[in-house]
Amino acid sequence: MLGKLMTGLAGSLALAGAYVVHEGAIRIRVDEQDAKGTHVHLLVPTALVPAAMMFVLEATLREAGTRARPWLPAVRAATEGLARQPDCDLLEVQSADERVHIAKRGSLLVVDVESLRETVHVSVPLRTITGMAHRLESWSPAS
Amino acid sequence: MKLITRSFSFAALVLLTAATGLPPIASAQAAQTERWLHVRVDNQVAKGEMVRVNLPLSLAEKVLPTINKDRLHNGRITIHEADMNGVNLRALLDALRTTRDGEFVTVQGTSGDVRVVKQAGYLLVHVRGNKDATNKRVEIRMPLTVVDALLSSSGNELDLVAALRALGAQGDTELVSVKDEKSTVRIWLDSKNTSE
Repeated sequence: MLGKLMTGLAGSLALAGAYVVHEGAIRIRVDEQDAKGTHVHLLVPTALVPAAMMFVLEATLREAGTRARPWLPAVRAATEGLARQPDCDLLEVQSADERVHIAKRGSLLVVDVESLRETVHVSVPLRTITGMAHRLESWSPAS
Repeated sequence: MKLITRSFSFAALVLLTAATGLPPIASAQAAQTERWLHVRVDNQVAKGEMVRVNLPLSLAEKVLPTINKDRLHNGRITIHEADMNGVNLRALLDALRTTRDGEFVTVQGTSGDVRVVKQAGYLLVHVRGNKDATNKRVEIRMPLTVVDALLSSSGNELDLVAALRALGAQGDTELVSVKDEKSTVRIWLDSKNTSE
C-alpha cells in the first residue's frame, strides 16, 4: 500500500515538475559592476505568474491594462508570430559604453543589456508575454 | 490503483517529452520560406555605434494591422497634403508608376549629384556627394510593385501591409545603401535570419 502511495506521489511530483518545466521560467539577472553593487538573480516559474497576479491590487492591474491597451494586440501578434520563427537576433545596438541585444532563443525572448554600470539579463517565455497581454486586456475598461 | 499509477506515469512522460521535446515543425517550415528585412548601421570611427535589425516580414505583416494609433490604422497610414508641403504624395507615386522608364531628375551641383531613374520595374535614386564635401553615396532601389501595393488602398491612405507583402514577393534585394567617410547604412531583403 505504501509502495503504491509512493508511486502515486512520485507520479504527481513528476507531473507537477513536468508542468513547471513545460511552462518555463522567467529569469532576471541584474549585476551592478560597482564593488558594492547589488546583484539580483531571480528565477520564477511562469506557472506561478497567474497566482502571483492574484496578489496585485485590482486598481493597479486596471491602470496597467488601460495604459498598455493600445499596444496589447501588437504585443500579442508579435509574440505569437515570433514563436513560429526560428532562433534569431532581432536587434543589436552597440555604442562605446553600452550594448543592447534582443533575441529569440527557443521559446524565449531574451534581452541583454551591458553597460559600464550594470549587466542586465532577462529571458521570458513568449507564451507568458502573450498570456500577460491577454490578462491585461481583460482588465482594461474597454473590454 | 495500477491504472491510475500508469496513467500518471504516462501523462508525466508525455509532458516531459513535450517540455524537453523536439523542435517545432512550424519553425522549420517558417525558416525555409520566410523573408527577412535587415538593417545594418556601422560607424567606422573607433568604438563607433553599431546597429543590427533582423525582422521577419511576416511578423511585421501581422503586427502592423494591430497598431491603431495616430495616423496608423489597420496597416494603413493616412497622409495629409499639408504634411508634405502641398505635395500630393499619392498623385506623385501614381505618376511615377504609370510613366515610361526614364531619367526623371538629374541635378549636378557643387555639393553633389542627384539622379532619379525609373528602370526595369525599379525606382532608383542615386546621390553622390563631392569629394571635398562629405563624400557621401546614397543608393535607393525601390521595386515598383511595392509602390503599386502602397497605392492599393483608396483615398489619402497608403497601404503599408500590402507594401510589405509585395516586398516579400521580391527576390534578394538591396533597398538602401548609404556610405560616407564615417558610417555605412544598409537595408536589404533576403531569406536569411542573420545580417552577416
